[in-house]
Amino acid sequence: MPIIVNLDVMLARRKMRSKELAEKVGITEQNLSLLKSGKVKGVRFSTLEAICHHLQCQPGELLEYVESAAEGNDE
Amino acid sequence: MTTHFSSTADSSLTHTARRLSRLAVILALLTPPLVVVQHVFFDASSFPSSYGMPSLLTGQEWSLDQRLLASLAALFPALAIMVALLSLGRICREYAHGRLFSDTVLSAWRRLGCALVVATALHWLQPTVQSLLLSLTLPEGHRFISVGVSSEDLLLALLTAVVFMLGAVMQVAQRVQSENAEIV
Repeated sequence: MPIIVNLDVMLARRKMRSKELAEKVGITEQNLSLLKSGKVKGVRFSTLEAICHHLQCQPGELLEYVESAAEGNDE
Repeated sequence: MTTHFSSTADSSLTHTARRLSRLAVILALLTPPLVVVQHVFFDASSFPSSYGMPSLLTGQEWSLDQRLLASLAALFPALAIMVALLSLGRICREYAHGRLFSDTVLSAWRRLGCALVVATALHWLQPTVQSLLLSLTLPEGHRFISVGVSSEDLLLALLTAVVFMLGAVMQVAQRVQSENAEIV
């Protein structure tokens, strides 16, 4: 997947635990873990909005497009 | 795949599905014995398939052998209906547990469709087979075979087509739900 999710980096910067963010956003810890590892097909705008709101960041800080990853692995 | 119910409407779906499941199983278990009882103990004019029989057959007093033959001919479509009802019960039981798009539900929809196809064909053939079996005991020249299509047959065929279409829709719904489950 050429899209890299930098959620763990942002969590570390904000000194927030995954469990706490999952509770605030209203998703399960398991889904948040899947999102952190990039093993999801998509993110709802409502989820992204809630994450940005609670981590006080922009969507661009959470998601990153990496060219080399796109060339190597299209899935 | 499990879908959890939260709203009042969803919980009413659970209750309705549970009740329908019980009703379908009870009807499935009652249908074959009732068909046999009806053919063995009651007058031929009360038979659901009597429209296909001339008054020569419905008016006469039947022997036990004839009644057993008639009940045998009526038992096959009843068994197909029983399988259909059991499949419906299975679907409703899955719905009651919140599993709307599970593989079990899909295979039950397929089984329901197939059972209805068989039931439609057998229901259409039933008066023909019954008249043939019963008129065999009549003297030569009075034996006959009756062929016809009733509005019940057409309704059953329409219901079968609807069930097959719903099965296909459920298959698409399962795919959509599994894709949706991968979006957080």
